[in-house]
Amino acid sequence: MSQFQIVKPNTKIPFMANHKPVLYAELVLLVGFFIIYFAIGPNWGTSFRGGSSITMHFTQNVNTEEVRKVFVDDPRFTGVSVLSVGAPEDNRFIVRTLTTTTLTCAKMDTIKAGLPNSIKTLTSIDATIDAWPACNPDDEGIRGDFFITLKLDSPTDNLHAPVEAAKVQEAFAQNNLNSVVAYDDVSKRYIVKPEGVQTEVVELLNSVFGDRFNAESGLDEIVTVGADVGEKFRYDAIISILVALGLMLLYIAIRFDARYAPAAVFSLAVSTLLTIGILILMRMEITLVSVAALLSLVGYGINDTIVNFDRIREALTSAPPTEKLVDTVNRAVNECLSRTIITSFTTLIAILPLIFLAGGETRDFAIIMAIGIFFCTLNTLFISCPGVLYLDKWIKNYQQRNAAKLEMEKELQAEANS
Amino acid sequence: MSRSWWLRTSLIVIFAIISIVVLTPTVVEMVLYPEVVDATMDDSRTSEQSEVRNPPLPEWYESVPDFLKANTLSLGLDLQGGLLLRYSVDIDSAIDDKMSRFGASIRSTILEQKGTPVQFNLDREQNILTFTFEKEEDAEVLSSEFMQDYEMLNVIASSGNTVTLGLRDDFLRDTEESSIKQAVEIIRERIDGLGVAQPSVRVESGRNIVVELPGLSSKRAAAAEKLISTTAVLTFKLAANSSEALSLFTTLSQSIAADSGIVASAGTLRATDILDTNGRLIRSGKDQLKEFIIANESLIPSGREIAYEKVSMRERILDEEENVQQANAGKIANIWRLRLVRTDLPSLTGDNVDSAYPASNPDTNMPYVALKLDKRGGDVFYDLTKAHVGEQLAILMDDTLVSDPVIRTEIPGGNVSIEMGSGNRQETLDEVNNLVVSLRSGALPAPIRQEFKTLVGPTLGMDSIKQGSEALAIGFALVVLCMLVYYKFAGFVACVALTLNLLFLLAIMATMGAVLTMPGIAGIVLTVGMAVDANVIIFERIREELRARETYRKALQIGYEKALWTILDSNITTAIAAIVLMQLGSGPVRGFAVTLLIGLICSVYTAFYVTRTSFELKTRKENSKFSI
Repeated sequence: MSQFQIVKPNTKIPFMANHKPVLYAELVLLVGFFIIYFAIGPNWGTSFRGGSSITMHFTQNVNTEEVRKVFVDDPRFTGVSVLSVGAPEDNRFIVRTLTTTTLTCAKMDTIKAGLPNSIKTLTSIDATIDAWPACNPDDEGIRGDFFITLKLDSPTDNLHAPVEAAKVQEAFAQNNLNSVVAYDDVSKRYIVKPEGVQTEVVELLNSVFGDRFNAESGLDEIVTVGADVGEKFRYDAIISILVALGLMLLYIAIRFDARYAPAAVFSLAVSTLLTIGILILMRMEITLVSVAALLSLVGYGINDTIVNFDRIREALTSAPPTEKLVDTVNRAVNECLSRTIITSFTTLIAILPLIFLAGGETRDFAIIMAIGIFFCTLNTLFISCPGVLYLDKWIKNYQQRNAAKLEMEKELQAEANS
Repeated sequence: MSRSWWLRTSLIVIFAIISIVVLTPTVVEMVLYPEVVDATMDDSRTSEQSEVRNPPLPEWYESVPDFLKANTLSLGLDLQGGLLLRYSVDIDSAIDDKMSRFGASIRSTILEQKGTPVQFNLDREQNILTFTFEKEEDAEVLSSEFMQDYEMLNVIASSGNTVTLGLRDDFLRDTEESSIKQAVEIIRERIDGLGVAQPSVRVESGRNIVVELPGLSSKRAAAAEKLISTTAVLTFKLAANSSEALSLFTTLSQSIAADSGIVASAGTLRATDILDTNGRLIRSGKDQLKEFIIANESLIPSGREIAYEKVSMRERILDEEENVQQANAGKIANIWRLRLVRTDLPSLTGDNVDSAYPASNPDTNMPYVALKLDKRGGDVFYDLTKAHVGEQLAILMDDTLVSDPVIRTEIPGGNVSIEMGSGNRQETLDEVNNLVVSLRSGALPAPIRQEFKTLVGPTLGMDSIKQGSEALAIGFALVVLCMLVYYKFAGFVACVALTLNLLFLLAIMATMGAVLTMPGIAGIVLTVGMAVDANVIIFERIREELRARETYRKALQIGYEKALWTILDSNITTAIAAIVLMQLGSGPVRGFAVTLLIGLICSVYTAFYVTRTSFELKTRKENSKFSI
């Protein structure tokens, strides 16, 4: 019966003998990526750097430049980047900005001036503003929640709010700031939570694009993340990749032999780092989804490596005593080669349609997986498996040295005894 | 040839049938009637339209036993549209708050009882209160007898004219737990009123609260956000006497419209929550009553106010007139009723509550709520209880009545015990705990800080589903094609396994109530690509054995045996990555990890057992062959 085979039986590609050029090329590439990393830096997504990511679509033709201009020209938005997503006829864009609020310093000053009057008219209490958030005009203004304190002309019971929080909230609203105000009677401050950017964004787009923007449904998505939270997410992401690598090292060390684990993890680390490097080079956003892709890649890569290791282990038990270890490993890898190629291929063709059909983060996910699968497959063949040889050599040397040392000690002992 | 092949075959067939049954509602809702799903995004939803929301299921589905009826596969926020908010609960602040209240309360009590002024200072890092008296002998005021009223504090050190008090460890833990619990409870109460189909509030990694409001339009998102972060207002008022309430409700009942769902019963007006067939809340009874009251506001006399009360389950069971009906999907619809409350008397707010905790009567062993009011609160409460012995209090959370204890006697000093009605201990304990949560949440909300927000509009999700399912279909077709060309008959078997894999994966997700997100769809795509790996490993091995001149049956056996551990190893390591990811992500990313994990389990089952069974079926005769 005829079989369709991409790798003929008894193929003997000398992977072991030729691993060095691949390894060195990859290491050079890695060093290059490190330089790029420090030169241009990673493009952190909104969830990792803080800010807002606004996805919108228009009912009629709008180009990226138009959208960019609207946001760049508006002083309320800083660090703006615009990206078109999906099919051109969707007219869908993602605007990323560092802004999480549109409270500029000028606006804060106007509010500060008007607030005592509003409080007076609402409650007939004479209050002066005691503490007000400092605002640096060079920055974007006030982001997120802020605190104020009020001082009354006539002192009151200091356990309770000098002016009801609801009234202060109303006073803010009278000064064109929609917010939620709460009183914290521990610190004796009012916590002001300004409304997010969504209202302002809808108003802005509506005024500029008119009929071309549907105020009801035109806004697809707004993600707002505080800067400090972004930092936390970043830290968590890095930790989780390291934890995943560590756990896998442990699993392989338990299931196989300690000499397999370092090779596998080294190869995985190289694959992951190279993928991250390309990700940075392409100026692709690093998001939670791309971290998910990287972690899946770690899973995929280890999978690939384990299948080969299993084969090597099996080959070692059945290898003729005259065969050199290099040849045994090479034989095992070659026997497994068609599986390695077919699995990479099927995974790749399953992923590819996502690159062409999906947009945004999902497309990034597919691209990262595709690049990563290439590196993982390459590194299984040229780094993990040859790596076993290195470690084996090292362990043998160590044992030999130990044995020699023991021998020498014994001799010395014998000499001393005689 | 294993004799059990027919057993395994029927197991596979049964699994497949179960999966199809489980997925029927999903297919009907998402594939056959997608426009119905669209309609749920509409704001102006009424109860009449709710019937449209439940697409017709095939007739045979009626006869399916209940345990096989699963909900439709739930879509994540990114696919369905809606609002996701993540808050962190500032527990330290809640503890600070508590300590400074104790400090102020002790200071004013000492001043009142002994007439000695005392200064106190709060160390926020250590949670230590230090009292400094003017004279050394005054410090003796803080005796063990005095401290009985503050049992959550203990004296750490006392030297000269200073006394240091600390918070007891168990009380600290209790505060931490209850701060989170109460924050979740408030938010849940609040979003219930929004009428969102499947709201979810959950605690994530200890101190974060994640709120998901699927299907919420962008227009209403701002209002929802505001609603969540506003602090609940707890008030203590007096309930109006029953004859007055009865006469008002009788008057009001004449204005009830015929189809409004509001009924006059047991001297008040009631309305029942409206649920759809999946047990999702469409419109709460409270909203129906509220709308009615707003329309008839002019009938409410001045100095009176309407409050809304959820009829307790115990009362409903005791009430013989009413059968507690299990509504759709086994959910019990809540019944709400009107109560009349007096606003013409001085009232207390949650700000006057120093602490509230569950306690137990040493004689009867029945739990009750112990409440400590501050100085001003204690005075107002004393006057109120003195003048109204025998009447009912009304403890309100915003406009919802949470408890209505009868005043038995005047209560001086601000130490209040609220006992629950008769019932078994467990029921009473639950009620006590619920009330404590309400009382604390009004009084001591730990500040919540918004960390993260995602608002997704309806069209983005629809487009994503379309793109995702198209990509999945094409990817699947390519993999199938590849396997058929390369492995022929064996490839066909692998494709059957792959199809079953997808079926099982979706069915398990629907049964578990797991959420399908866009990254989750990517996870399914990845599963499709990686699932055939197990078969490739096995097939390559069989080919090798065949080359070594083994018979097909022998080759099959060796191939499967040798490949088993390889397949397990490689899937376990991928599972490790998925589990790590589950800890990291929230929302969509978590959906990816869950999908990947379920996909791995299904693919091991299908790629190994399902294909093996198929081959054994094919090679029942000693010399059977197949193309591979």
